[in-house]
Amino acid sequence: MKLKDKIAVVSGTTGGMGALAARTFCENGATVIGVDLDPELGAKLEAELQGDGHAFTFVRVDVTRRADILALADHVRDNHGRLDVLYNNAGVVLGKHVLDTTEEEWDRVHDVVSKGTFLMMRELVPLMGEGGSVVNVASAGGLAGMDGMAAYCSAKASVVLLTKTAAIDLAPGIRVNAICPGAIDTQMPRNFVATMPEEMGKAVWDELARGHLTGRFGRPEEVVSVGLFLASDASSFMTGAAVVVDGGWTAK
Amino acid sequence: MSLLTNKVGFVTGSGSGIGRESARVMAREGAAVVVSDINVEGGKETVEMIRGEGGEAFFIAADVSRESEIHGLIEGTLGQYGRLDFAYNNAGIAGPTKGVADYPLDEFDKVVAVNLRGVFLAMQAELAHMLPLGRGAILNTSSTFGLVGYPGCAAYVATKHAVAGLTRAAAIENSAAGIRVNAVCPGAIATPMVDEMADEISPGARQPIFDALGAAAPMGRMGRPQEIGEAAAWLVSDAASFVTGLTMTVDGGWTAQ
Repeated sequence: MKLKDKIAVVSGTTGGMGALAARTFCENGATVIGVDLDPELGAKLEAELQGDGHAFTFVRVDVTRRADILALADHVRDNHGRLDVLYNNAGVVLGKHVLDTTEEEWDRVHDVVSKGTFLMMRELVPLMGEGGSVVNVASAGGLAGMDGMAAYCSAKASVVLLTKTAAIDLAPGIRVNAICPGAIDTQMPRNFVATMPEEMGKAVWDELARGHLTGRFGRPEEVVSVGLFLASDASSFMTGAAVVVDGGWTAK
Repeated sequence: MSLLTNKVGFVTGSGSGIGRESARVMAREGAAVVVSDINVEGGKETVEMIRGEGGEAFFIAADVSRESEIHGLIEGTLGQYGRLDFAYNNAGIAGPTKGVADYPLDEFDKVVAVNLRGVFLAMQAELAHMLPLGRGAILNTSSTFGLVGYPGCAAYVATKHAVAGLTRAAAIENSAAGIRVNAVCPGAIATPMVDEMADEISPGARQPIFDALGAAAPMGRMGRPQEIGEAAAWLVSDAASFVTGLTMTVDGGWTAQ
């Protein structure tokens, strides 16, 4: 029960890693407000987690829209009185070379990943008291360049530096840390390679796996376990850290 | 849901400070912990503390700069508990508070012998045991001073940088074989080692040094040894199964600046 009696917001909650984070936080004693775009998927997750006896509610939020986030802040304040953990997990991926990336695609990736993380912190951190913990899911691609991932790497790098800056701004009361996962086996990378011709998709997948010293993709629970540690008081002297969970990808 | 249920590991330099508190957290999380230190009295005290808290611990004295004593530590752990799942190479010394220009060579060699050669020897012996099994977790204590420069402790800064490098090299070489290798990089932590450094810089007045060290991090305070212990226990546990080659800062935001 590492998050006993904590109130937590998890964004991107209907995705693979977001749903697992919500469940894990609940199992560790937290009350979780999960947010994402699709109300149907949200309702399904809510029914599932509540059915298991967990304190989980879904709220529809587009993290690129400040109005949605302000409404979320009202919901959290009215129903829970405060916030202890903010887990910014919402994200999108785009596999395009820098010269092929359109302005609209660039803006979309940065809106969700960079601006979304900023807005969630801006409007929700004021609900946090002493001991609050913000965890931003960045990427190993926010620390090292990757072939054909210009907008994604740029946006994730911005999350890493936003994390460090916010850690300085919000110290000592509120801790802000980032997780930098390598390639994790969720629907997101599977969908991503599915957009490619089959042979190319398989080659990209194998190459991603080989990029890790462990020779395999990470599992969602291996990222969420870091999230749980950073969200909990066990990491009470950690702030501004970028915890890399990448099977050694960036150690090379 | 304890992190280290049924695991066995040792912590060098666990007669005081970060090592002691790490051993305590690891035992609390369910591990049987071999406490090791060159300081027999401190090491036995740590064992007593762990047993008093209901944990399992055993003491083996070791000077990590001596290869035979490292082997004694590993053999002793296997003899006592029959296995070795994780090793935390934490023993280290600060050395004199001097800069590069006037650092005495014999003192430099002493710091290198413990902080670098000691970690290297331990890793060699640990890998020899773990590689045939195809599993194991190795953790080293580097430092924020293993990532950034700092004046007045040349050998410490140099050896802690070396530990970060050794960690990454060993991670690259051994991760495919199932061995994870990571380092924790503590910021300024309130330990007997830092007490000694403060006494050397400012005899009889530790507090101004502590205040300055605390103020250097955004969190505005020094860390507690237990706060490194929590990170250490997590890094050697299966919860960190996709984490390798990492230098994890636990520094109150020092290196975020």
